[in-house]
Amino acid sequence: METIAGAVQLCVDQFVSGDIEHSEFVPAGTDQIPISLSKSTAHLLDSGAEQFIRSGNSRQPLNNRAFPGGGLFAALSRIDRLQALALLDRLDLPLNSLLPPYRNNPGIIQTMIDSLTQLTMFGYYSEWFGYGTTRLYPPECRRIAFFPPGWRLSGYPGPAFGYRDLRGYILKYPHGKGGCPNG
Amino acid sequence: MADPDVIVIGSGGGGAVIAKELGEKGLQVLVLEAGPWYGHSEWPEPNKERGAQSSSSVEDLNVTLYKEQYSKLEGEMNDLITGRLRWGPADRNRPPWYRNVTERGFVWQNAGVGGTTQSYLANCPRAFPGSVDSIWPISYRDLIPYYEKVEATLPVEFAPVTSKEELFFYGAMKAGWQLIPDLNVTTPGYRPQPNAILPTNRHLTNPDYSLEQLSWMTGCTLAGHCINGCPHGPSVDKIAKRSTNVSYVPLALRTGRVTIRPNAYAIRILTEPHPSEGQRAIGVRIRDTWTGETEELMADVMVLAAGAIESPRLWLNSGLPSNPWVGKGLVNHYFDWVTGMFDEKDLIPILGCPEINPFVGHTSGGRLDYPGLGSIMVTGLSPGLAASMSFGISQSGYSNLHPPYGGMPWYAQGRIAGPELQHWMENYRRTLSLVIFADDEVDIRNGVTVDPLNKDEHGPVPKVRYVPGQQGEKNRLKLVRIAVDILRKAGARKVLRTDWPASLMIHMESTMRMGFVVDSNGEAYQVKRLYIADNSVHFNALGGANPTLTTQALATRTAEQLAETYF
Ligand SMILES: Cc1cc2nc3c(=O)[nH]c(=O)nc-3n(C[C@H](O)[C@H](O)[C@H](O)COP(=O)(O)OP(=O)(O)OC[C@H]3O[C@@H](n4cnc5c(N)ncnc54)[C@H](O)[C@@H]3O)c2cc1C
Repeated sequence: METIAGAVQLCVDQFVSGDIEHSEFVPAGTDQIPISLSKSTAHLLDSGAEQFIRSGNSRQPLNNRAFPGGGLFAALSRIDRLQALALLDRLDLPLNSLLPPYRNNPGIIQTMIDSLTQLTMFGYYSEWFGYGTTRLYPPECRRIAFFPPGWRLSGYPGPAFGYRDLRGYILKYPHGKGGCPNG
Repeated sequence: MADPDVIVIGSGGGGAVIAKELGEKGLQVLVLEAGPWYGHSEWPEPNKERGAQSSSSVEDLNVTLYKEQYSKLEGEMNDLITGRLRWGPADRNRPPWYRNVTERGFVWQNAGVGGTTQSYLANCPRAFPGSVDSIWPISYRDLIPYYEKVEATLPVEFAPVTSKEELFFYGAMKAGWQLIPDLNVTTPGYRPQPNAILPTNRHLTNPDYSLEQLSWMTGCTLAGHCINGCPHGPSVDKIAKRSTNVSYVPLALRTGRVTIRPNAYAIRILTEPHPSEGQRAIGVRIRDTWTGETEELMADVMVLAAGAIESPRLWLNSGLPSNPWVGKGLVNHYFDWVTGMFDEKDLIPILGCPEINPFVGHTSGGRLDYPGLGSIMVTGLSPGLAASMSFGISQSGYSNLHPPYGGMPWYAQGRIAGPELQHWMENYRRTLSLVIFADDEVDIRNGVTVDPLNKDEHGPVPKVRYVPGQQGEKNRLKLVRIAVDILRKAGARKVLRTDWPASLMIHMESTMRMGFVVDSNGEAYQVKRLYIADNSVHFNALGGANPTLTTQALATRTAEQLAETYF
């Protein structure tokens, strides 16, 4: 298998945090201070990492230098990060220790674990990286600058006007009269 | 427009249909739509500025703009948070509209003229007769003429075969399934999709025409962008995939009696007590999504077609009479997704080429139906969607953290990551994905409620709960087994079952059920002159058939009843 630039090298984390930041969580009641969703999500990941380390299953040493400025989650090795995500996905930690909106809210924790994975993949294999220097601009201001690496890796030719792979029709549609009793 | 006869709220799968039908019956109709209007000269930059207030002009449909806006780029179109086809305001610098989904998952809908049909796959099967007859308040025979009318109007045609359909049918045949030729499906089998997609351009295989030229002519070019939003055709009304913004909306405008107002979010149905009719609908309060201004609009009859989540929300937020079934009974066709990876040498004898190329052809051109159980459909997505929907969302955790399944080294379940993901995506062109959706039972505990303390600019937000029942679980498992068998019989070397969460909501129906909230004509029992014409009136999950054609048939029927009753 070819060694390739992964999602980190392609800055897909910026896509993921941008999308999360842009989505809205509307809290119930007025007493909750709305905290940015990407911040509370980072806290969620660090809580998962902490719980995972506490479980004693961590296999590799922490490395604070891998992602300077990162928290506990970022210091875990690759496989341990996946284990920490899996732990959160199983809700294997005290949910009252989390920040809103995750506190005592299992559905949204699990949805976020899916979303983090989905957005990473979507950012990586869609055209996003190909927006070049405009990729962090507001959505209406992005322009494709080059062929995105995710398309090359997957063999996707990009948007098409059509393909000639017509292999025929199996059935012909038996249209009825189309007349309604009263119409 | 001064005093329309009818106001329709929502211009999606159902709303556009009833607007056109009522316009043809001579009624003045105003359609209010929460989202933007793409492909229209009055809204040259629909995501940047407010543009005009409304339009009733068919001449202003603008295919050049449409092609610019429907860019076929999946990030720009399908991103549920920032994309053009999302559930949110036209202004993409603002966040999407929030839904409080209680379980793992999300609601997949589009705002805008055409509603969620903008990204739908245009699969138009009829309901399975066995799930309607002696169960619904109306019979399957009652529905047939309306099915026929919608099928002729969209129109619906059987999908052409490309490589992915050929491989799917090959696997289905080897697995022992029969071809079903009939539209009224009573026995299990496979068939080409009945799709609301124009037949392929007759010059498609003629090299004298470039593909770009063909994309400006009438007919499908097999470009594979159904889910990204299809922009191919010579004019808006002749776009190949028949979302309602290119089918029913142009027909509605052509009556000269239908006006459409995008960026208008209905926030309250207005009613009054009436001596003989009782409580009756008289109008609606709306909020302009650009300016925030509110306004009240009046009509003789109101039609709610805001979809299975927003229609009950609007009822609940309008203080309409309580009814234990409003918002309740949500079905969602418990979905799943399985993908097979193939070897070149196995594909060559079947397809004559070493690749499947899932991005070619109708996004879904073939299906297996099993009335009462549900359906399995061959589906090919652009790579970002393919990766995120096949490998990124699961209720089974990460597959590489599980022990392997005994005796099935070729099988895995759950999300994948790292080198395994890279391997699958490097083989993207040799993958075949099957989406599964299972018939599920109506359960009054599932549905839409609102919490007065949890609100956005349009009032209390919908809280959506969906937990599948035992029947849904069983049906899904049986369908997964069938799908895995088909992939293996077709030669798949590896199979991954994604195990989608139940609350991944794509086919929401039955939240304002006929016989409980509305009568068999679609009028609310408790509020006269208030009709509903979207997925929410379905009595059940149709046996597992995709919902939209049935919604459109019912909307056609409701238009007749409504016009006869009040005009
Ligand atoms: C990816 C995808 C693929 C699909 N493929 C298929 C398929 O192949 N076949 C099939 O049958 N179904 C398919 N579906 C489902 C299909 O899209 C729906 O069944 C159909 O669109 C439902 O029609 P509707 O009128 O109930 O709702 P919608 O089409 O969602 O229309 C509701 C409209 O009302 C507007 N609205 C909502 N609230 C308000 C308000 N308060 N004020 C004003 N306007 C409002 C919305 O913006 C929207 O335009 C698919 C769905 C998705 C997400």
